[in-house]
Amino acid sequence: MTLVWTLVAAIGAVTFAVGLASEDAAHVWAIYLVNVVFWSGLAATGPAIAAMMQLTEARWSPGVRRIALTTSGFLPVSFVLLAVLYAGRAALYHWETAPVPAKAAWLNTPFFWLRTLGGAALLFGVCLAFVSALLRDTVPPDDPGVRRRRNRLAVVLLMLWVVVVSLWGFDLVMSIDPTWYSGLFGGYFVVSTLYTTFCLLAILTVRANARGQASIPPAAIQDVAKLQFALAVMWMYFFWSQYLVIWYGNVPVETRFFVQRFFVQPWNAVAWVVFTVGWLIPFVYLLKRLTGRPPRRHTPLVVVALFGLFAIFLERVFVVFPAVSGDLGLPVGASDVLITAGFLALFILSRRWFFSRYRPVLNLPHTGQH
Amino acid sequence: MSDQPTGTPTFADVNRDVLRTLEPPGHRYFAWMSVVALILAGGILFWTGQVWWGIGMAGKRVPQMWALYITTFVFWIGIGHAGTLISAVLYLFRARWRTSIYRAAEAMTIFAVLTAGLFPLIHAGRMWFAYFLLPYPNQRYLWPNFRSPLVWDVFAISTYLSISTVFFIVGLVPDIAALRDASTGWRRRIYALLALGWEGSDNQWRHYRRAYGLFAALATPLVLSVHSVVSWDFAMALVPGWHSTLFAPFFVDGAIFSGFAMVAVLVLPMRHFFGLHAYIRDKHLDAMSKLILVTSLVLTYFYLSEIFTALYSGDHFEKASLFWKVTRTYAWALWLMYFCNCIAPLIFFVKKARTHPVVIYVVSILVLIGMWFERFNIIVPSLAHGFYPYTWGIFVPSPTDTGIVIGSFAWFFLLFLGFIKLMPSLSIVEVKETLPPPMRDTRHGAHH
Repeated sequence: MTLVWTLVAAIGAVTFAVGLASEDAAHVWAIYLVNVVFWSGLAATGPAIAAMMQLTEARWSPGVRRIALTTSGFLPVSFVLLAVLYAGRAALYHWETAPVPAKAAWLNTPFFWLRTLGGAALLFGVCLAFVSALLRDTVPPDDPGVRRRRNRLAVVLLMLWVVVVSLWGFDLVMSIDPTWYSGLFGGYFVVSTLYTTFCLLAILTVRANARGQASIPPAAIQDVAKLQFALAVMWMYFFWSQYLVIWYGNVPVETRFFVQRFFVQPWNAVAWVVFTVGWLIPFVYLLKRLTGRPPRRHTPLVVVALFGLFAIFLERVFVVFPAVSGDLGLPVGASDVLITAGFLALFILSRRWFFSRYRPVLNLPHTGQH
Repeated sequence: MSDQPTGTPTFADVNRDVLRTLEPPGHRYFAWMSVVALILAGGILFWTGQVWWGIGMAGKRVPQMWALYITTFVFWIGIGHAGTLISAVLYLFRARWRTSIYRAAEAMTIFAVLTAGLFPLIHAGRMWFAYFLLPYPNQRYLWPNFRSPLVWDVFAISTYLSISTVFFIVGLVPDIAALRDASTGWRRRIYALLALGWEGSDNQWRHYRRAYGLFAALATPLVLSVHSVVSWDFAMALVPGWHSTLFAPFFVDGAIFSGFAMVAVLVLPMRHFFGLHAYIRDKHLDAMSKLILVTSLVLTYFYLSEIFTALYSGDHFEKASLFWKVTRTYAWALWLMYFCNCIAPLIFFVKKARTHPVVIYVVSILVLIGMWFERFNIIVPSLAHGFYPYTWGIFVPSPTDTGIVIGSFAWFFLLFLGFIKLMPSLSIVEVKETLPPPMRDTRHGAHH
């Protein structure tokens, strides 16, 4: 399978290169940006979830914590991909070619890329240090000193993660349309990224069990489902907190964002798909699942987790594309699919590299703290 | 200061220690009650004066029509939040450390909301017309403006008070039954009425657990909704410094932050005076301090986002409002707020500080001061420096509004002091659930 995924990644790269040479370069850069923020978010948030579990002394599943760490294999790749984005700055960020004087102190080329790449380097470095610390020592650590060191790393990691992912939201996404702003957009980006990572964690946990790599008990999978549910609610809450205030305030500089998307096709239809697939269906299913005994069959959980991932990917498209250009349509062409498949392949390959490099043991004993 | 008990209490210890808190109070208790009642009487006197001579007594001048009353209203609503978080959200998360503090936190919620509820009435001046806010069929077919966030407030807060009260009473039922069985005379009759015929049968326990879980699930969304709605009282307006998408989660986090600080302020003296060290242990203090630290860090993130948005927006009025707040008349209040809410809680990064009662108490008091000033800084300086210079105006507190605000604290503490002598301030049932069950062979029990 490694060969197949390598081939898919190569085809994605070639499609991307060919697309850049075409007249539709802005479209290609837009789908590239969507993929970079989506997959990089997943990669950095896996260790962040493990750090949260470390600090809250969550004993309900050491196996799940280990699985969360495995997304970090993509971090070095992610850094390179973020650096490549520099080449597409003129196509994506209008303020690069037509500076906005009132915002020039924040939106200027050197400072913008220093924040983006410097922040990513710092965050990814701490993530990898935390991953090595967690995989190197015993579980739970015998030495209180080791636990203290891990806790310190976890605190630094979480602070950096919130700041850097917020900046991705403010800088990489919100600044595409430099006149529009929402103070909560950074926080919204953090919460939606966390939601996707819990969706991914649910899928990886069920898969690890199915392949015999781990034996996570149903109660622990139920806990992952609970967190997935909580984050789905938080995601919608953070969206609604912005939408209601902007709708009610009715200030043109703010409402234009929603006018471009909620009153123009195909974006209006996309908005409803994101809401239904990403929130409504998972909410109803997870609410039903969480009120009963933990089920032994997890296929519906995997399906709603895939829905969540798909919807947030679509939501990134929904936010990025109309901002890059009003003429860009839905990215459903062959090149869009191949570039996205290339990113997926890179993510899978880097996870495989992580397994071969660190050989993490996922089948850890459960202490039964339920 | 060593507050750690030597051994794990038994079931009999729990009964004895918790019921001891309900014994007839001593001189010290009455002294505290008298002080609090005197301050409250002063507050009531000021209120009476305001009703008699008019709302001008409260120093209200255009544009400062909200001033201290709405500041204190938002403060008390926020205080109520931690109670729901501890009793409902931590229950759903199976955080067992909540058992020793949740009863006090729930009582705090109800008293805080009752205190908050006074302020719209006080603020309205003619509080006998307060029922105008409620939608009721009337001869002139007049309805409140449902598009106003102030009306949303009425619904959000009344729902919150109803659910919190029911949740509190449901949680009390088994303990009240224990009190009923241990008391005589008129007390027994009152407790018997409140115990709702509780006998502790398997069937009753099964239904009780189910109902408790259901109420916890119902109460959880309220943690988000109530303070979000309160935040929209401001965010829906176009006043510079108010119209921000950040406000809903920013208010919710601040509310939880201040609520935990108030829990610490109430629980630490309770532990000290009633000798409850065996139940409110270092691990409870550690967990509370950690939550105060986390919510402080999140609040700092929101403060930074707020500053960032004002600068990034490029909006002249937003930037002017921020500059004015940071450097002019009320700058001291803003910097005090940053110190109390962002800097002081950082001491909880030190493990020893997280379990030291004096440190926790001092930081909690600072947090409460900081959070009161946060609401002040949102309301007063924002209104003082709006869009047009001819609408600018400085607010100076009067003895009337200051007296009423101080009186509200006395009212809150009076209710709480009354509560700790009438109801068990620790849940007998849930504390016992965290202990090893009694065995004839004590060595056997020690292994659990």
